[in-house]
Amino acid sequence: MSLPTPRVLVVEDDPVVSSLLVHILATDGYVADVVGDGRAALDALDTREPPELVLLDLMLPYADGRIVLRKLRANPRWAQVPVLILTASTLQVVGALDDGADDYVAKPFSPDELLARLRRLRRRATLPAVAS
Amino acid sequence: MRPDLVVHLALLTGQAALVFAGLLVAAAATARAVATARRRRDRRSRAAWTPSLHAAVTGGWLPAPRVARRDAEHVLSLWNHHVELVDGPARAHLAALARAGGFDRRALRLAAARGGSARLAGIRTLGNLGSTGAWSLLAEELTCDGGVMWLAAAEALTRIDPCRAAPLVAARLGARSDWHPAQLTRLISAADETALGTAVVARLDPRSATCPLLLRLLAALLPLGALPTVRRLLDDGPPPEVAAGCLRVLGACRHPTDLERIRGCLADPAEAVRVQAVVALGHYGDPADTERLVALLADRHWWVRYRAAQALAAADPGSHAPVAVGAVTDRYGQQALVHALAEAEG
Repeated sequence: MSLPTPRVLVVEDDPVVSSLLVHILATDGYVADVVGDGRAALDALDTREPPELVLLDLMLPYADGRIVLRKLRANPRWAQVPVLILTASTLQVVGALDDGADDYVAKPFSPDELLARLRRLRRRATLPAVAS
Repeated sequence: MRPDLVVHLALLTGQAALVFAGLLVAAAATARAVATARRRRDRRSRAAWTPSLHAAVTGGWLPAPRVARRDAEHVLSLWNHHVELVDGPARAHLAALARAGGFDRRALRLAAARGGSARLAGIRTLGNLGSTGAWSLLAEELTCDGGVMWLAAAEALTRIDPCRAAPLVAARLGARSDWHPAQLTRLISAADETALGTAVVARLDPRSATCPLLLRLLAALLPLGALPTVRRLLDDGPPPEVAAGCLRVLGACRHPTDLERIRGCLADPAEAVRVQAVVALGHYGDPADTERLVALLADRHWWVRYRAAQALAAADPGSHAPVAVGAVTDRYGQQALVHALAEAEG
């Protein structure tokens, strides 16, 4: 069974990185929206429809990734959206996982591994729906 | 003073002020023009190269666009940004693209240039390309005191040949005490940790001013092979900052046989030593250490109280028994624990 074209929200402040992520995601059939800082990500929680996945950088201006993550998990519409953390510092990973991240990828990352982890998150997210 | 002389002086002052203001305006306009041209070149480089770089990252191939000499710095910086972001085959594809674009020659030229950012782009590129031919140029950069260039050269050499670079880098690492830990972490992530650890251990001298910094680096490298040297150093009763560095290494390596040695430092007269002993116990102490940490909540030094509180607040129930705030009798210790518990809860 093929899954519908998934939308991903990319929260990343570096335009070079976000542009590369959008390209990598497109090769696997994802459509990506980008927000460039923590404040815009918090706005998105109130104003946008939840995507299938969120790819979240931890070091963000205005509100850091962990704040965004906590607000996301506290928002009933977004609480179930799988979140993959993208971070250059593995020191922050434990805290982010405790805050509700589903998985993480450390920079520098392998594009294939990133896509495989996203596919795994999608499968996990769609399993209950298929079962029911 | 004659009135006409006063008028003459006032006129001269006015003219000088006018010239000065004109020069300032010209300087500001030039700086603005340079910045605009730089942004334009950056945008142009990005527009031309992004499709090829993206294609290379995902295993595709688009021909390398031509690089104008004045755009070289921007293109190389963009390439470095991409290559330092990805791992695995994507990195090899980006290297192939760079070779097709003649980046190795351009990087050598830039690395020998005078301009700071151009040189930096050149040095980073040589490292990311693994250019063995640039070894002597980069090694020479290590003898300079220029901070950012030095660090970039150390990282580049480490990327080219981590084992060969280790003694060169270790010899100069203690020369500056103002490195940001993140910069050193970046350097370490590219290094052969065993080779760098061995080279750093060989340079540990408790009488040297560089010893505390080298120990701090050693703690980040986690070399278990360095533990005998570090233990010997600590047992010899070194200056407080060296003892604190040794405890930092022991706490990072978490070897069970070092627990007694660490506990022995909890009563050291130097607060820097007590702080590191408390941090180490917080990392891997056992339930029997809870009482020791609670006692240190009443330490006369704020950092010791705070680190003890952090160790107790962050401890998992298996390693330390939970401590009730009300059970702490010292007022300042109680405050430190409340503070640390609030931080731990986020």
